[in-house]
Amino acid sequence: MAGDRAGSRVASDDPGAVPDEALARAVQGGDRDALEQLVRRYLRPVHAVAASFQIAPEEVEDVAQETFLRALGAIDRYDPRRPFAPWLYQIARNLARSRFAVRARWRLEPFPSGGMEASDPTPDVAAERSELRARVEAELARLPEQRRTAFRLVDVDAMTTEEAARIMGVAPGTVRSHLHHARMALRKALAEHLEVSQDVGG
Amino acid sequence: MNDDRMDGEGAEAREPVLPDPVPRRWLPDALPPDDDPAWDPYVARILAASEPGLARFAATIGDEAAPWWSEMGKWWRPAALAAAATAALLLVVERPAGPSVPPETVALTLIASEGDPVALWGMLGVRADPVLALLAFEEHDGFPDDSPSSIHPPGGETR
Repeated sequence: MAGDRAGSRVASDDPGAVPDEALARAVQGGDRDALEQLVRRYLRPVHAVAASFQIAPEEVEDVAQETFLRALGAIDRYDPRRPFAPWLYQIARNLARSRFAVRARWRLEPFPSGGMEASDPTPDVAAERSELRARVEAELARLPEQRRTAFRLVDVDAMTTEEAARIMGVAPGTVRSHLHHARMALRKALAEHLEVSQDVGG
Repeated sequence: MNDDRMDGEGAEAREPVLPDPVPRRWLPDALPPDDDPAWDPYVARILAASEPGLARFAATIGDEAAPWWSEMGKWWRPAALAAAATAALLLVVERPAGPSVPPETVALTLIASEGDPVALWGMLGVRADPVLALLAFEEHDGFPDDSPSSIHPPGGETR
């Protein structure tokens, strides 16, 4: 899945697409279609950013919706000469961060991410996978925010490092650096399982 | 928890070779692709919630675009109509013939007010003699404390 980039269609990767900034300018004039294009373009990345903060799925939805509403409320102060994606990302990040802080304050366990796949062969395998996912979630929760977000966008939601970089407003090399540290941390935490996995796979 | 020290050129300069990712099945579930219909309800909800904001922007833009003389143009017709209607009403409607207060109940405070005594009496419907009207007012100052609180018109008659 990590190599599958088909699901990702971030922003102005399509050269024929109307640039984000032009759409944002149209939204400043009350253009509903332009807003819809921006929402469709960024709903998935905004969800991914919110999900990287490991908040409850319903909170992810709330953050995503609130991000667009806040962006609309502040669109008259948005400068179209500046890139739109990092501006939106910053709003999502701030909203998700406050929810994440509440979770951290109460020392809540990370939320399990989704259910078991239907193809799980046995209950034992399903249980092991569930446990591993929980360990991955716990390890991700310990990562610095930028590393966690880069990991979520690239390794979980299959964006390219360039797409993640544009959303996060950093250089692609920076995203790769964050990704490197995140993968190293996860591999270290799951070393014993990785060995078994490689043994089984090899 | 936040560590942004890796941002920027320093991190890029030390760009490492990426280690292999951990097995996908251990990771959280990925979000649906952009074009998945699962996103449609979210888009609809956000757009519905955005309507008031969009309407506000559209209204603001409309207000900013209209020059002052254009706004005047919108209002001069209703204003002219209202003025014409008011003038017609003033012409058509009969003015009241004056108060029908019996002269004997006129309070002393009223006739003690300044002004032309004849006109004052006339306002009450009394055609007063100019000299007597003036005398009546002058006499008013000399009324004793136990004088009645009303007077009779000075040598005139009620209309």
